[in-house]
Amino acid sequence: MQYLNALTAILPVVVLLGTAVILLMLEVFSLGKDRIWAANFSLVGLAVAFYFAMKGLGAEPQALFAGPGKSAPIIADAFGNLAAAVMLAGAFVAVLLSPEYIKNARCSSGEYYALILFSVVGMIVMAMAGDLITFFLGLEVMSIGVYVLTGIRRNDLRASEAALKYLLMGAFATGFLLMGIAFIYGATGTVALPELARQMVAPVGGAPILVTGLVLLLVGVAFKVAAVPFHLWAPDVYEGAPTPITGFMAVGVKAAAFVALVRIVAVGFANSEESAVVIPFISVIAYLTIIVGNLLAIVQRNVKRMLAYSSVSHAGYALIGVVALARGEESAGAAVLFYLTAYTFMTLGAFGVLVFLERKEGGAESERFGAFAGMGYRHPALGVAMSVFMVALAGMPPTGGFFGKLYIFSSAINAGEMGLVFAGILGSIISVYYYLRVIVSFYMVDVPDAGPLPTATRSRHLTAGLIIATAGVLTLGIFPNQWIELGKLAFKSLQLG
Amino acid sequence: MAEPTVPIVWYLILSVALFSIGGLGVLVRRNAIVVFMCVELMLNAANLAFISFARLHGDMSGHIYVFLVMAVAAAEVSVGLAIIIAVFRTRSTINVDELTDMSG
Repeated sequence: MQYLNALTAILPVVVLLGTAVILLMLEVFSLGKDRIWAANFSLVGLAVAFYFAMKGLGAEPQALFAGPGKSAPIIADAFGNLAAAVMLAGAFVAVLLSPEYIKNARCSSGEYYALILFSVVGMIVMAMAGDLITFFLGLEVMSIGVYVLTGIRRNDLRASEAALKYLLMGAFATGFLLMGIAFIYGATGTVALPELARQMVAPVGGAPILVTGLVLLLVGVAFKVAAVPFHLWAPDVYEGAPTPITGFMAVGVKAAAFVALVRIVAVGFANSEESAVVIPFISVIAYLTIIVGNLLAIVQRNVKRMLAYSSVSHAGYALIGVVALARGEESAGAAVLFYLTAYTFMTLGAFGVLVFLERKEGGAESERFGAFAGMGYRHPALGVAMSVFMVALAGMPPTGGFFGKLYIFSSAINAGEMGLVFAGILGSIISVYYYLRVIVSFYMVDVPDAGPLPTATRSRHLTAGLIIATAGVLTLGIFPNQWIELGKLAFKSLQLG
Repeated sequence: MAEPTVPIVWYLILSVALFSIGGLGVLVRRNAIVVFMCVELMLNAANLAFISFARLHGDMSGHIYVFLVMAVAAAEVSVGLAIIIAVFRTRSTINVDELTDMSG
């Protein structure tokens, strides 16, 4: 009975698991060739889970599934629920982008939607994890699903290559992460976040073991969010994966890892001198990620790869928020959440436009900048949408991307991290070049090597996905206050729980 | 305690050594299956560290974590081998250096 009550506190997870399992069972009967019903069914599941996550915002923080005398592995609080809502919205848009792509790429779609749902379950577990082992389990549930999704077009050369690279690098990162957790456990005798904060003061074997553990943990997370110098897999994997999945992992995996990192830093390592030693380490990664990510994005010819490097650099901006948070600046928690929300909509929107434009024969050719020449005139609405996403990614008003950066930078200034703010602004200026380049090719008519123009497609799902993404980006840009206040409230729940 | 037992530090040294061998193997070896085995070595090094630290603290939770890690590693292996087979079917090689369809 006690467990039944606990399950009602994590209804989003229960609903998603139920939907995914039913989907897999229905798939056995293969109801029709056109599997649009599977997309619709998962959309319903995601929407219901989203409703329960938003409902959970008002609830008291609950510590769930705790053994006698042990701390809870799952903490259902406003922070976890708000993060879950963001990831569910991202998955919702990613599913909307999928039917069109699956039809064009003719990939097996049976398990596709179920795998997306299972991955989201992993993400929510990460966001609600009360100890490092639960965080690890959530991370793996998410990652294994995404490995398979990356390679789901298994006869495609680029897709299988991407899947193998992602798997090997992901598993390598898992090794570091796990060793880090083992060392932290060794130094403090616990993996539970609230306990960690108490045990941190006098670690077993002194600080070195603890610091080694923290650094290994951070390396593992840095791999997952594709921070420089652990980003080498990202461009290949992003290019080879199915485009909706690229969007899904660019936003979902990154959001989940950052949300978990915020919880770990805020609850487990708050104001401890031992953990302050690793702040310079995070700062260096943030510097490198912003500068290298932006510089490499400039030289890309393939828009999908450019977006991959852009996503690398965005991880750098979010890391600025994490550094500020580690310095004890509390507004950074809400800033990171806001940034991830804005990033979710603008990135998924950009990948959605790519899905729209990709030609039936697919391949890298249809993703070149030149292939988009004149698209702004042939499809005015699409041109406007892409312009909104690019402007948002570059961090210009009146979009969510602008306020995301504003909140991150102002929290970093409060924390006294002027150098990082400077690097962030510099990076944003560099990024304007390659984001505007997309807009330029959209509205540039005469291109000598344009080749055959992409055939745009008509799909109600895809259109709905793009509309949601555009609305999300603009709403966050015009009414940022509501969302940041919600984020602040959610972050408070973190410290109460 | 009549007989002297092996000090816990030795287990930790073994664990770190295994972890390093695994990590180096991932970077040096070119056969995807061998790379994957090296990753497994890293995970098991972490398991050994968990067990020894659990012993050090007299805390049984560390042993439970190892079971969780084993389950995760098994799931990862099944997906991993499937992906390696998919790569072999499309290219007839699993040498990671020959996976160069994308670059830039």
